[in-house]
Amino acid sequence: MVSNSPVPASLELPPVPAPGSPRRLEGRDKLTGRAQYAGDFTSHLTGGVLDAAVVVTSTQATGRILTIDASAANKVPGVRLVLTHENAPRLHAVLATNGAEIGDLLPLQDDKLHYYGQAVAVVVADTLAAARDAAALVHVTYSAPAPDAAFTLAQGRSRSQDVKKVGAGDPGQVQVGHPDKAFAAAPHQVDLTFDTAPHHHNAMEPGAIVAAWEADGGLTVHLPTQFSYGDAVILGEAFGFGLKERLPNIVAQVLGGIEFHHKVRVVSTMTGGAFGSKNANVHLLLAPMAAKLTGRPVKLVLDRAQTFSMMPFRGEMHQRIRLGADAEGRLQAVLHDALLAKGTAGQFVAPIGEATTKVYATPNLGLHVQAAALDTNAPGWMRGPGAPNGQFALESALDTLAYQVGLDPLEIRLRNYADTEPDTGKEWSSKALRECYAQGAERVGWHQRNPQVGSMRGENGRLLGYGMATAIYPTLQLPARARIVLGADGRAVVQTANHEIGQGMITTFTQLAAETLGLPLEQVRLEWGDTRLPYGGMTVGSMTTLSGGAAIQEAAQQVLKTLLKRVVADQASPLYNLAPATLRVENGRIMGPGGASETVAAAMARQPESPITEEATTGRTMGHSRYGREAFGAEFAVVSVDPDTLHVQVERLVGAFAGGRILNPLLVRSQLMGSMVWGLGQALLEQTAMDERTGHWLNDSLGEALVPTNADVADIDIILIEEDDSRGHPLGVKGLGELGITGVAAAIANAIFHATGQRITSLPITLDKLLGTPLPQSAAPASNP
Amino acid sequence: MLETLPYSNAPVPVDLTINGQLHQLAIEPRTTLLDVLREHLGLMGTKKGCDHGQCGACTVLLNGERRVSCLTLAVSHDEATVTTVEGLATGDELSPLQQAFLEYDAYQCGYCTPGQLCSAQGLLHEGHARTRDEVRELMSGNLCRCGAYPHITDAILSVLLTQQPTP
Amino acid sequence: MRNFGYLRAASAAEAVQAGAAPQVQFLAGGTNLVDLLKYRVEQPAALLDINRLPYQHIEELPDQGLRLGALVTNAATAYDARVQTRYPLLSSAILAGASAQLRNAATNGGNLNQRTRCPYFYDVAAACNKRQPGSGCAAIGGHNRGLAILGTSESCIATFPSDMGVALRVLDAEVRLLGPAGERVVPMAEYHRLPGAEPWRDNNLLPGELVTAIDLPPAHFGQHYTYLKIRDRLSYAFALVSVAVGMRLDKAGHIQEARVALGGVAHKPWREPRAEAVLAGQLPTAEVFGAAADELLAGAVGQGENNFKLALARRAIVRACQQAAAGTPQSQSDKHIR
Repeated sequence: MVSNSPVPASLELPPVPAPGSPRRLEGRDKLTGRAQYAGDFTSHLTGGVLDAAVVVTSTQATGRILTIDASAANKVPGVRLVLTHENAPRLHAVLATNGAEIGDLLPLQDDKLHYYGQAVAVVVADTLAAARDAAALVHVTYSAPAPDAAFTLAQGRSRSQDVKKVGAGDPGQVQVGHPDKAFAAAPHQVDLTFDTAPHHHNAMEPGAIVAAWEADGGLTVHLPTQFSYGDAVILGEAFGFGLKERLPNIVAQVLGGIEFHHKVRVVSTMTGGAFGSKNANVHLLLAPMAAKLTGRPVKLVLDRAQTFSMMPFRGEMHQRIRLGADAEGRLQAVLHDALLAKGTAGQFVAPIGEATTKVYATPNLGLHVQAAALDTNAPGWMRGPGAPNGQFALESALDTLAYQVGLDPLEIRLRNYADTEPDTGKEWSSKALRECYAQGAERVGWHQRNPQVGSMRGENGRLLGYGMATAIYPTLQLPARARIVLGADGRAVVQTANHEIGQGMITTFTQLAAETLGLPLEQVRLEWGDTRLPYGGMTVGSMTTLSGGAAIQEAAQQVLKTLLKRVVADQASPLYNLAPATLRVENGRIMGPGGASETVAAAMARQPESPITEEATTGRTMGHSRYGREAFGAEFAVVSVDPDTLHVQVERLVGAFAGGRILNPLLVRSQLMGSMVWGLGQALLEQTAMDERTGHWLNDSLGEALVPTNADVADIDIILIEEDDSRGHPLGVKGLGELGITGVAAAIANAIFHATGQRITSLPITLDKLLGTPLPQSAAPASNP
Repeated sequence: MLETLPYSNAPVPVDLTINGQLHQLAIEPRTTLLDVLREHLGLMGTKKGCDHGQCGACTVLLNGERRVSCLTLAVSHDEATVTTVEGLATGDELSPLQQAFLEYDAYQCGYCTPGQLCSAQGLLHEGHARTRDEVRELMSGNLCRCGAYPHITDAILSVLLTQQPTP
Repeated sequence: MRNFGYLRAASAAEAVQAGAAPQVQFLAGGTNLVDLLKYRVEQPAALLDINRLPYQHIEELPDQGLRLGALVTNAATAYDARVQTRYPLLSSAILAGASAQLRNAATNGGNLNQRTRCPYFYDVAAACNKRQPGSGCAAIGGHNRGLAILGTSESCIATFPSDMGVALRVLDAEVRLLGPAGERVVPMAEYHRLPGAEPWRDNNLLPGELVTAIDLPPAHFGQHYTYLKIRDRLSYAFALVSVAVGMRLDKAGHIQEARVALGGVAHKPWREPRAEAVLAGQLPTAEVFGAAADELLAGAVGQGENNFKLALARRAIVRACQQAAAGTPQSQSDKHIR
């Protein structure tokens, strides 16, 4: 059945993005349903048996478990185990990375409650249906809850404490110059407070794991994770595999080429979205505990509601920004105070203020971060992680300052442009932010807008507004190792235990190796996501290409060098006796001066028993550099606000980003676009609602905890500005997976201010926050958008 | 209660033709089509994102119409025809939609993709989407947390335009 | 979900007899019921599948109205050419709800009988008089951003989540029922209940009663109508406030008749004759619409988080009336409010 009404002639064929870029190499698998995620495992893959595990979670946040009655559950046909703190294997303490909850709180070890939705039992049965039936029959009773429990910052403010280190070690307290004094003396002052709601990652794939104990006592798990080695070390520690050493030492060993030969293997081939949520999760331990007792492989998949309490989230934040400026709008003082929620277990505090110390030039700077431990599950890394919230506050305040001083919001940013890294004085490795401002402004029509607040009208008298903000994200790298084997068939296998989470690692890494080796893409194959492979580091912090990519490039260069040495020494080669420096490899063919050439495959085939294997390690410097290394961008939003209903619509987002060298423009564009969609969601929609009486995340579903739909997402324009960042990184690349989110909420809030005159200082900006305040009258002069 | 009623909660025979193949099943009445596909038949292409009809990842074509399989009781659809993501391509040849998703990079992590594809196939079949806004609205039952929406819309529009003559 | 017995009803007579037994529920599209089964909010002993009963068509009525079969899907109804041309308000309201996939499954009868989206109703660990009579109402004093401001009681502040139902209320639709005692017809106005002291009763259906059809009277407001839905997300979200308006204007531009119903604010689609009386005979001005809104919202009370709905509803009513009067109905794909 096809409707009679034809497609309007005005509808044009959308241009194919980045037509020259390689498409995702795993694309066909993802498009045909063959791509296999952990939850897709069947018993075929685990030796004929795969039981289903279902978690039972607490319906109280504090107090103790008094009784767990599993008798009815145990009677359900097919049930093999009801795992509780009473029968669970005792676990050894683990050192989880970056303050993940399980570093403080191992599951099912005692009767104490720490938050609502905490795992209190795991039911294992032959079938998922039986496990679900039995889970519903596990009856738990609790002691009285604590009378002084706190689930929100408003309730837990008295628990606030200063934080020395935020994120992965950034300072929580910074003072440059005399910010208080300078602020007090500044002719222009802005002093605003900001509140941002907690919200969850809600990757489309929930947490999932398959755990199988091997006959030799080893443990293999398949799960989506951003850090397979880290998860393997946690398992090794928790289950007492004699892993005496801590993660940093182990990392040092594996980077040195010592195989990770422990009996724990973690495999992570496909991850259905992560965004910071998949690493050191509670279910990592639950499934192996259950499988240990049943002696059979177990698959455990969280239900959507459980992902809200058993996986991390972006916690509630309260911030105060004070800006002092001279008469020309030059910043004299920036003071950033922040109070962040954390869990009672889990020490994570988002790196708030990191951007504040890098983004604008100011002689006086103060950062003061506090955290309050609440009786909830632990907040954790989430795309950005602190920058979108910090930038929302700082860029909103700067916008306010611009109007106060009488400057264009773009001009005030240029006037405070940081030519060197503000907190260290270092030179930047590269910084094309001025071009970002210029090209973004041009594309969005910034200079054609009427700058007067409340002056612009769109269709039907809607209030139109333009807003902008700076995007900033650190360019970091972590240690990683890669191995490349060039075989007798002239094909290369690249091995590194990094992870495909949708960012396009498979394609980028393969492409990078192929380019460096001079092989066509089809002759290179990547193996990834497995602790049997060389250490690939963490897939976090927009560092995948910087870390793993650098290792791959170096290994590829070594392979190439060995190959060329080999052919010039090989009398059977047409390239015999030529100087290696005169040779180049392109499209699988080694070419010398004067037209002499042969294929890589032909050269390798002559020594079939001697593949070329090279390994390389990079990134030991951990981002300590002579230069300031940040990726920057300029983000612009056009919004319309209905003056009657206060319905806000994002009409357009434009992002201009300076990201060093762009390896695959298609994938980079997609990542930045997705990241900007995240910013839109954070700005207008996303909040997880806490029942302040019980500590229950009440809207723990995708129907109630709203994330953007297709209809919400504006036209998004991405401009990529290439930079030469070769002095910052061997590949000249910068991290771009998170940059896109960092300025969007601020740009949208600033656009709403321009449209309405309302400075909304809390996220998300739901329409109720615009109600009850007078808006510009529709009678105001019309202007052309 | 049940003793007094003419009902049994024993498995019920259900015939389903899935991707062209007839499956004669005996399933508990409570079994959703999604669980039939995944738990009974091992067809894991169709994804469980929320299991409550709120994300669209489990969308399949039921007698040619797009449905969320997680809220569809299989027992109620005896003799139905089902197409899942595994049934969209013809051998190694991707369908026009699959090819467009590849070219327009209309996906990232890939987890929502099977549902997006089946939903888009259903949308083309329905014939109610003629503009960009209509495609966006009528694809809003499929969440994509990676935020590939603009590319998804472009990919669908490209197929819509190449399959339909303009006036 | 707990397993249950299953039977396909071969005839309507069999269905209403068997359906009158306690713990038996009818299964139609299942888009709400299956969800409730999964949350264990509903735990019937048996489902009686009515999908093969002969209520599958949209038919002309002798008075030039339309009869919508109870088992016709929401999508088939919304895209039916007769509904689109004669009852565009209904088509628009249906397309404002849920998603394309859900509308392909959900039936007209099921739409009327869908249950509230109150988060505490779905949370079996929470107090909820609607789910567990006598247990209390956790929504009062809790997370009630989406809940009711009109017609609430001390035992329940839930809302009826349908969009379609709001339009049906404006159209003065009639619900045709078949039960063990035979057929009867209930006007939309009397189909749903306010929570009162018995919030577990969403509507006035008797045991075993089945919706067989929804009859649309001839008055269809094909020119002056709108369905304006205000929600946090632009699609695939329940209404914070929605407004259905049908209007007839005379040649001089006076309002001959106006009907206004609200969704998202009460336990039933909310209409108030006094508000419509304010509009009758008047020229369509913002002042008149504001006065009607005040009547429509008389007695509205916020519950804390949802206090904003009072101001929002008033603005939405005025705007929807303006849309209807101007003949510029809200499009459900263009997200700009017209």
